[in-house]
Amino acid sequence: MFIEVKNGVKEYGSGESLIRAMDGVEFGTEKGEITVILGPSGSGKSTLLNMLGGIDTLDSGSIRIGDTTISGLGKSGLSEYRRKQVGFVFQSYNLIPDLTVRENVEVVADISASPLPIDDLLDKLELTKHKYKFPKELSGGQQQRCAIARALVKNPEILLCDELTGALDSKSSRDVLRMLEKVNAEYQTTILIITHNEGISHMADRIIRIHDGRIIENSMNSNKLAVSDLSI
Amino acid sequence: MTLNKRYLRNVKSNISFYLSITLLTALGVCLHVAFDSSFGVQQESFQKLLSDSLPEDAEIMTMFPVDDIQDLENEYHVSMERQPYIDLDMQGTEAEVRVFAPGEKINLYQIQEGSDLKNEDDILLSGLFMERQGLSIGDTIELSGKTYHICGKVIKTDYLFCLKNISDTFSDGDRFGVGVVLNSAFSEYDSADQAVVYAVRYEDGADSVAFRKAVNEKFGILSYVDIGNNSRLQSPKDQFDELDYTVNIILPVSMIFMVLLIAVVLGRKIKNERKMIGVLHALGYKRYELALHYSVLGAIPGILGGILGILAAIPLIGPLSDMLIEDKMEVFYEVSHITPTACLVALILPTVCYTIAVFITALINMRGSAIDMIKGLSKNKKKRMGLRKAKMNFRTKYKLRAVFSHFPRTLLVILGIALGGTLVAFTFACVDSIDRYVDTSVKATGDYEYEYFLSSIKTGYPEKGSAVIAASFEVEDNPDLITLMGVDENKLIDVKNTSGEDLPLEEGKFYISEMSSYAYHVKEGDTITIRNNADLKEYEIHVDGILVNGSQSLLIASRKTVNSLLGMQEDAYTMVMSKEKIDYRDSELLREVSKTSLAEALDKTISQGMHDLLLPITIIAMVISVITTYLMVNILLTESSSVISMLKVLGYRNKEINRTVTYIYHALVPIGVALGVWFGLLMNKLNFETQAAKYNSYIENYVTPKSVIICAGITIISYIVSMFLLSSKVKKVEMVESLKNSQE
Repeated sequence: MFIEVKNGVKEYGSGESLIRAMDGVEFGTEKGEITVILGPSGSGKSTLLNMLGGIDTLDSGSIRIGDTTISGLGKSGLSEYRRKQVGFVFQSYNLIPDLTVRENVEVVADISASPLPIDDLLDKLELTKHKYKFPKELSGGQQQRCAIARALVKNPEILLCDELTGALDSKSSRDVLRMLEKVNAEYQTTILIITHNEGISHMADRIIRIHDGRIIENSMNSNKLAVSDLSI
Repeated sequence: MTLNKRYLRNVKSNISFYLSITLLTALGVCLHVAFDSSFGVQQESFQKLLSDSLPEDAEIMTMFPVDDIQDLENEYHVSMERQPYIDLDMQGTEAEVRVFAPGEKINLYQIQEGSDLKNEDDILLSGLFMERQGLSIGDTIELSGKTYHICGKVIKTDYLFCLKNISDTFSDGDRFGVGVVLNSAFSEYDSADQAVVYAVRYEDGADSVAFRKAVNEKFGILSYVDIGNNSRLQSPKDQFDELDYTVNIILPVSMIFMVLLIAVVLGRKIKNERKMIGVLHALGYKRYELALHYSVLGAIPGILGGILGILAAIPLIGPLSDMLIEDKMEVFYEVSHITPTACLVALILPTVCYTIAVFITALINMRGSAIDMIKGLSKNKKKRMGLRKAKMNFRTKYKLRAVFSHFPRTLLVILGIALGGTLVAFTFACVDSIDRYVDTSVKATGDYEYEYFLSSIKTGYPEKGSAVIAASFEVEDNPDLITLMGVDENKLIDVKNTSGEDLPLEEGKFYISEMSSYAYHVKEGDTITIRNNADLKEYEIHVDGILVNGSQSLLIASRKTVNSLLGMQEDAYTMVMSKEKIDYRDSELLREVSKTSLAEALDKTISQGMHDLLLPITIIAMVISVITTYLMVNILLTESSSVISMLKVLGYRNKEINRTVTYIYHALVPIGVALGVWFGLLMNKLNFETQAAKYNSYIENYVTPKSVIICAGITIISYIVSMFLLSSKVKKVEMVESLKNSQE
């Protein structure tokens, strides 16, 4: 397995207000797979994503990505991991408002050892004509594509997407997912998508369902659909 | 309401911000209260002293005793009183005590400590003299053979700055003091050959010129010293005026500026609460309720800072009072204590300003819909700096946009950097200007080392040195004196114009010094009327040029010209200037002045005080500079927390984030430094201009390159310190929390 989570536990709060956001989570995915993690609000999806992305740390258990056990890394180790291996795409885009589309992508290219050519990437994500625009001048879908470009420019091994279509209309959502499909095919990027939208799960190689911090289903998707065939 | 529970939590979660604001407020309040209290009480005391002791307006020495004082008083609306004194040697020391009989109408003595005169052998002595001589109340001293019992400490307003001779430059408490004995005790010293000295007070509407003419006609005035020219009282008055300017103008203005700056910063901080304000607004809270709720967040640092500042000021008042006044003159009735007015202002001003700033900001933030507030949307379309296609690194573009697209924030940072620099530059410029004034005023007197003021008029040429005829005159209605000086062509005195060209000492030609030209508004070609201050005889002088000398009030001409004007023998002289020391007998001299001692005296009286203030003001300025810069850049970090968070998520190291986000204002430091130095110089210029108008002397605004470099260095060091303190702030930005809030 390329990604392997073993008995992952994460708790927040204490005493009566203690919340177990991850309760013995165990799963794995192969390199180049698209995995969709489904679950209702508060089920622990985002917590899991934060752990996989090295934004937060487990209380117990382990996470291995390739040859690296990230659950054993300190702050600087996690920072290096995020810098080199992971790309993030968030529901709220999180673009830097004072930078144009191209410059937002440059932010990551600047700290990458061998970044992909920015203009080629923007071209693939159909952002060339918007590359000198500021985020505020773009539609939601365009902003999300910019966020994907930013995540991909370092050619990460893993792309983590947190409700990436949550703020988009269906057309924009389909556009964005189409881009992910294209990226996966072209760069063999391992993609994990967190969503509560069942429709998206049909584009996945693997579907994981999570509830109250526990994985209740981990299965391969035998009826994988192209994004153009999804009903979202 | 339940909502109020947020106050403590909000302050706790922004502890470094509120702590900085509270400390900065406390510092401003502490300075204001400490200076205002230490100076204010003494100033009040000084005014009370002046009104209680009825000091003279002038001192007149006559050839013959004035025997119809009552008639003169009635006719000219004046008070006049004989002021006899005698100088007695203090046994076993080199000190002299000038002993007075108690006056009844003018220059009344005040008891500072101890009890009043009761017995023939009782004496009241000046406190500073007692301190220097190691004397206490109850001790006995022997004055010229007679033993006196010290019953108390005395203050005589006509000897506040205790000079033996009016022309002396500094008081020497080791060698000279004043004392008062009963009339009956003084009578044994009083005799006909005593100098006939009278003190005069002019009542409202008194015609001083007519009075002086009448006295001169009947009794012959030997000397007339207006109180404005009597540094025994004028010097303390001038010091109070100078301190008054610092304490009542510079410090309050600095505090108000600081408070306003903090108010703006607080307002910006509350702006970051927009989302929460939106949520509360959506929950049904009314606009004014929310504005009031948030305004308490402004009041908290205002009140705390005020209280802390007042508490910190209390132990400073005594030492500050010593430093400012007590060591230099004797004016005290009361021990310095904290003044309620200063405390009230210190408590009210910051609290009200901060509260209003936050109240208004909260109201402004609530102009949009609750949804917009919650989503962080703004109706104001912020214009971003372009540079879209510029061939620059994204970091450079980000910094430029952060600086220029958020100009109010940038302006705050510049002002924050400049604030400390202003204080430092003001102090250094003040010291440099005074040092230069001291240097030039001594140099401008000529290339000589010694001045000998002769006790009688001589004629011809002295064996050694150069002859000078010199006399002091009043200028029309101005009581300040100008010296009319007649000199021979010699190398000891430079007679040059402002362009550095020699002015010919031709017969009939008079030149006025730059300072007098400025003080009396006289230009080349004008005529100035001068008046002998004894016999009031007037002379009209045509000014043929301006002499380069910005520190002395002087009219200069050839010796022959001056003697001719005064009706004296053409080769008469009253003074000798020399490069070498000349041995005169004591009886031949009124006094001897060396340029070195003059420089030392000027340095001691004018320059030293400012030098003493350099270090404390620099430290205070650095603290202010560090905290203000910290606060301003802290605002930047708060407002950029989502960017910092995102950069962390993207794998940026803290150092890289600091380089990209925190250190964007490095390029503004030179602007802040330049502004600080400029503001400081401007303040100094205003300071000296105000004083010039008061004292008819102008100290040119001047700062050395070395001082500018030091000011820049101090400002830069302060900036670096605040950057160092801020660098850890980036570490504290949570990746997860900031991402939740990030939505433009």
